[in-house]
Amino acid sequence: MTDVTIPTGLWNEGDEAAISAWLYSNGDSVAENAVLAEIMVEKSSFELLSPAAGRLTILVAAEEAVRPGQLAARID
Amino acid sequence: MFVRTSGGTTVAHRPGTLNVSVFDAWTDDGRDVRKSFEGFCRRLVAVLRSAGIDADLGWVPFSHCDGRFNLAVAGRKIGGTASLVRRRGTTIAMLAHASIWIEGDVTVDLQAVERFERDMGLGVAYDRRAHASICDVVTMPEARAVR
Repeated sequence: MTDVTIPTGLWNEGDEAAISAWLYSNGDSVAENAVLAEIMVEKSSFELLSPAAGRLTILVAAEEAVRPGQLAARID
Repeated sequence: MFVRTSGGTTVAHRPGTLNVSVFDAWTDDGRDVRKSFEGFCRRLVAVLRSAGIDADLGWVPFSHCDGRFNLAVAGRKIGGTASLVRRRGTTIAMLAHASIWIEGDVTVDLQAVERFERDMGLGVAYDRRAHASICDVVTMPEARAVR
């Protein structure tokens, strides 16, 4: 099992960030380095990449606020 | 209609709007990427000020596609900005862009934006007085930059 965490070091922790869209659904098979989701920090768009290949379990719904380092999904 | 992958909401483009895009890439050195985006926005402010327009960055209540990095003059939004950031390995790339009203009828643009957003079920209404083109503001004494 591999954790998928919100990237760190790309924006200030005080900035408001949210997952704007998941590009895969719960249970989908994903490849390593696939773009799993888009993260919006105000009007800057960032990507959430898959750290491993496997089956995706989403832990944070789209539109929910997130912070750097937060667990967002798991890959089994 | 085109969907852009950078942030923000609906923006109207037409002759009379100026689009500025800058691409930058660097080796990840731990810097706050948002600071690089802010730097792009501040360069635009500097250009406008050098032209005698007292521009700044900031939220403009009741403006469309509102954000902290709006280009604003005398409390009116004259342009919006957004960015797209991608990290691949140790390289970070950023596409930053701005859309600035130079001339033309801002009201017509807002009506088009509102019509589209209503059709999308968003039901957002904006205040025309929160927006202006550069041609609108150049005649306003409070919009003149001190040089």
